Amino acid sequence: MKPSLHPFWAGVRAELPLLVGVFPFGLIYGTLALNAGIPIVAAQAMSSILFAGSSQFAVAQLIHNAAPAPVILLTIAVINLRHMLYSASLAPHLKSLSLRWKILLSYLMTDEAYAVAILNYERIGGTAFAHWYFLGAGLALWTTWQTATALGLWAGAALPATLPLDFALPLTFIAMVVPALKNRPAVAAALSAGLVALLAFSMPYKLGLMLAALTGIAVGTFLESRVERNAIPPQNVGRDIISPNQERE
Amino acid sequence: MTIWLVVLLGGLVTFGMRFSFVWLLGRLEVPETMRRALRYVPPAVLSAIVFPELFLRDNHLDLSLSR
Repeated sequence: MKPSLHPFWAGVRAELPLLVGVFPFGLIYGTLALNAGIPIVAAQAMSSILFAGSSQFAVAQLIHNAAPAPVILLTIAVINLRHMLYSASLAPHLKSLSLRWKILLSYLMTDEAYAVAILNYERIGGTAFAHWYFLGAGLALWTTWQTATALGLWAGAALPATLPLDFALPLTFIAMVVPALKNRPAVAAALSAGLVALLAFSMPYKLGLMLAALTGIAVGTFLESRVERNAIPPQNVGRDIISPNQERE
Repeated sequence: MTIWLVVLLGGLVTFGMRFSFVWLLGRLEVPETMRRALRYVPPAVLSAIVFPELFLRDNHLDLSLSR
């Protein structure tokens, strides 16, 4: 097997449990888009060009309400703002890749692919084939999203207008938080972000998620600089992001 | 026609945001303060996604369909 194929399939495998939650979501998007009066080809094109679930739901709703294009575009921009955080977070790991790889992996940068890819980068660091892992995860999600959309569009007329959306986020997603909790500032970042996410949940357009993430980042950064001032000798300050260290207190 | 405008421009905007820092930080040196802040993106984002799902599942359903 080519050395790039092993990480590629490892990425696909890591993404699999998340697909369980993504598939019904795509199915429902397809149905909803049809009911909103979006032509089949445009609904499928939205899944492959926009490729961002929550914003696609919003578009379907807004098209249904005959909202003007600038309003819809602004909504898309606000809902997808969080991808800039993912972009910044992944950027140091993608730095040495060619422009083609950067474009491809940016296109595949969804919540689910980000979660799987960033944890892999933090676990193994920047090995020569780590981007293949990201590609595997991203393509697995992409294929699932396109297929689920197509099935939703195809079955659309046969499905009821409102489907029960009662599927839990897979446990895997929850289990992903754990390896991210590498030290006390990270735990504090996670807890404060989680708390703000709960409090700000009624904010529209995923702004609650954005606010929560920024709060967590601020809390973690602040605590780390305090810990550092108190206990860590100066030579440890400039650690590499590629190899984050363990408990540091 | 609105729908095609939305799909194409919306796709462009979304890709632009996904590509933004990958492109920018590929050309600039990342300042240490930013590197430090970026280490907290995974725990912050992942728990911001998971917490509402864990604790507010019913609300979530309403919200994701009504918008």
